[in-house]
Amino acid sequence: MKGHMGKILRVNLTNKTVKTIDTKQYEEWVGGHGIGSAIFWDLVASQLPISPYDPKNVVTIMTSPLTGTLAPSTGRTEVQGIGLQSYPIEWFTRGNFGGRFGMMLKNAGWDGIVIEGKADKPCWINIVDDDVDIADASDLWGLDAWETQEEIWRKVSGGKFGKWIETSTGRYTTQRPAVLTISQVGELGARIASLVHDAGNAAGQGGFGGIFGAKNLKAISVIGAKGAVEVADPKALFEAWKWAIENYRGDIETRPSKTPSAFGAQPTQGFWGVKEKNMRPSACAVCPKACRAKFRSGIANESQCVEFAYYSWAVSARYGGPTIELNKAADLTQKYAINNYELLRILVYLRTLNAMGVLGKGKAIDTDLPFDILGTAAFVEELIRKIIQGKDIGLALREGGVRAAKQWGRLEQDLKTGVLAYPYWGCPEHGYDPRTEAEWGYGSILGERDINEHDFNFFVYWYPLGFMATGNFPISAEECAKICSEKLIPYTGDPFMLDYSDEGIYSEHFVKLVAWHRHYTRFWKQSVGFCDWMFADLVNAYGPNNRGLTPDGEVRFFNAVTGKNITFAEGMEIGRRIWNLDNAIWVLQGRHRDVVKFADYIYEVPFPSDYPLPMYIKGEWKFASAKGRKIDRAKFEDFKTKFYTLEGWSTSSGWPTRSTLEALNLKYVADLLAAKGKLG
Amino acid sequence: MELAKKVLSKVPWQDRLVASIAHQTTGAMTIDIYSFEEAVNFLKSCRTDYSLDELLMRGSSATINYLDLNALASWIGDVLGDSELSQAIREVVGGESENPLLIFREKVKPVLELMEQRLAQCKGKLSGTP
Repeated sequence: MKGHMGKILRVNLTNKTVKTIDTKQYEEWVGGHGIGSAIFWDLVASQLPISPYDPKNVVTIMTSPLTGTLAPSTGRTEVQGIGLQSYPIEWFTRGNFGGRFGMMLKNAGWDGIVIEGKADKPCWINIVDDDVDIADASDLWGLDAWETQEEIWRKVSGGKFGKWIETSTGRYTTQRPAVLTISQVGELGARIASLVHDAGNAAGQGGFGGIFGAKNLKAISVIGAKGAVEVADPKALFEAWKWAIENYRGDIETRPSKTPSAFGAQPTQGFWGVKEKNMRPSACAVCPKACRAKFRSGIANESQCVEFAYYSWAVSARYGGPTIELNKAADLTQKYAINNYELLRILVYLRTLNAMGVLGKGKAIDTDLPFDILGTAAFVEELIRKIIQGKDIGLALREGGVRAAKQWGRLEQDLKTGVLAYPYWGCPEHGYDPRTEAEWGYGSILGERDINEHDFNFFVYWYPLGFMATGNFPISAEECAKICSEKLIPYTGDPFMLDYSDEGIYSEHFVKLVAWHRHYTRFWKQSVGFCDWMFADLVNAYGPNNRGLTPDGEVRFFNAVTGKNITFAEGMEIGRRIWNLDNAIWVLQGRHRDVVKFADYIYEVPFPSDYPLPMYIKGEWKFASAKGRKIDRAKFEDFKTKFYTLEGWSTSSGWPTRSTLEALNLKYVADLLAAKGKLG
Repeated sequence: MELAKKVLSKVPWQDRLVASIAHQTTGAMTIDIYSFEEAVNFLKSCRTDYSLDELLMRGSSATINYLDLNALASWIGDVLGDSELSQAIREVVGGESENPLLIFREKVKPVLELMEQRLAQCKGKLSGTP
């Protein structure tokens, strides 16, 4: 397949050996998540269940065939392995990060990296084209994520930006290495540790920072000068760009007051901190959105979205709006490579417990955290210091919010009331509560983590909120439903998939929406590499008749690069195959329908605020509020049964059946499940 | 003086006021407000001048903040004991609405003005300045 470089790096840290895997062996899985899951299955499945800390845990870091080409918004890199974050079972999971690492890896001639084993002492992996060295990291251990990268830049490229270095293949480059690293928090094996690349690209979910630390792996550095990624049909790729811009972006200068396109939003929109005069847009490789920013001051470079949102509420409470403290707080999470969503929910939880009189100096949960300076960057720094030093409540918080609550004897009660907002698998709530935006919550609980996939969310949640806030309704709920019914191949023709009413969210229609979402994201985003902030593009006011470029856009770019001629439906089928493989892995880890349940508060506490969603009520489509809703336990169990039926899994266990697996060319998966007594 | 002290005090958890902040890509979160000054700061941080265009740009930095202004009035009256300010806010807000988000956008500025005045008065009282 064009777009592949032909080999995957396989590093065994125990034996200190370096081998290659021929990418062709896994070409049917295309890239990213697909290849990662397939390799994980081959290397680990027969040994499951194992602890994430076990050296037998394999971490894969995969690009896609589109990475490093001019296909838009394909600068993402997928990380997989048994994670540390989820509770009570540490599921095989995924993370994803942007930046330039994936492109650099391809330029070095590699499609991905497989990490096995555990080094006997701290090390880092130095990739310079074909040369791969497992180097001693004793002088890097103890450094934060930024210090580590700066030190590696000095080691590999002399420290001076723009200096020529010669690679083993006799080529030259002035690029600095692209480095993926952990901080001291990861070194401690903390479950809230992330992987960070450059200033602010992070794989936050999953706790892979702690996995690296458990393997004594400090960082991976790559510099590539072997050349560009070969594209099958460059002309078709440019024509796809032209088609997308002409039809779906809209004119930025004369943009009418309607919903702007995903394809070509204004730059730095992802930056939510305090802007400075001397700033410029910053983008992941080949992305037209440039959602981040860089500053002459160097503060808050490349941070965006939750890197600010995790603390903006506290800064605003203190100062009446964002201040430079917010920018500094964003930097702390990058420097110390900590999962921002965990930090957000931990901070809110600590503040609540403090207000309840349960946590504080001399209280039942004793801490000298200075709540009088909550809202300053210094407060966050003090919290992180406690986590790194393992002092005060820091030791418990290394384990994440849920496990800390368990240590404090509060897990059950706080999950019952929702004081601890962790609705699924011990993962912090993203802001789209399962009681309201059900496709998000269902996808998360039927999978293994907070999905973080905004494909529907953009127009089922934010559109109606924006419409209500301005009193302006340019697109109706009915039209959104109609557009989805046209675009959600292979489930076209059913507008009721978008019905978020109290009855709709348990219906056979909604089952199809959730299944579509799982299959689409597994292939088109996590394997092909399209960024969540660009794709899917379903409802788009700048497109013809408010329609976005999905499903045509994905296919145009993919086929132009790879030379394949797949249809969107064929891509969805690959996604379904990957989803089934993932479920098989989870089954081997202990998945059964009986453990697939939300935290108690989702069933018992009415959702407290207004949350408008598209709903079909009494024969009429409208944007109506889900305020006061709880998920009905029995109805959700019925939904699961319907979902398992659609997926071809056993309805009594949620395990895949032999017929389903064999129809997906996964007989070997069925055979292993059968051998383990776990076939549906 | 007593009223000023009460208005400027922190309330216990069970008497908190609940507001919300909605971001496009990080979702909606409830915000617990434990003091009058925090409520003032929350309202100050609410930008209500975003156009629809700005709000709906994918990946936008805009937020839609919300606090039920009638609930705010009740909290100020019942919990903080400032019935005069509570009534003044109710008069500005003018009762329940079918579109509370839009009403919030329209009324937050005049409500904030009233509250900022009260905050200054209370702080002045406690510091002995007029």
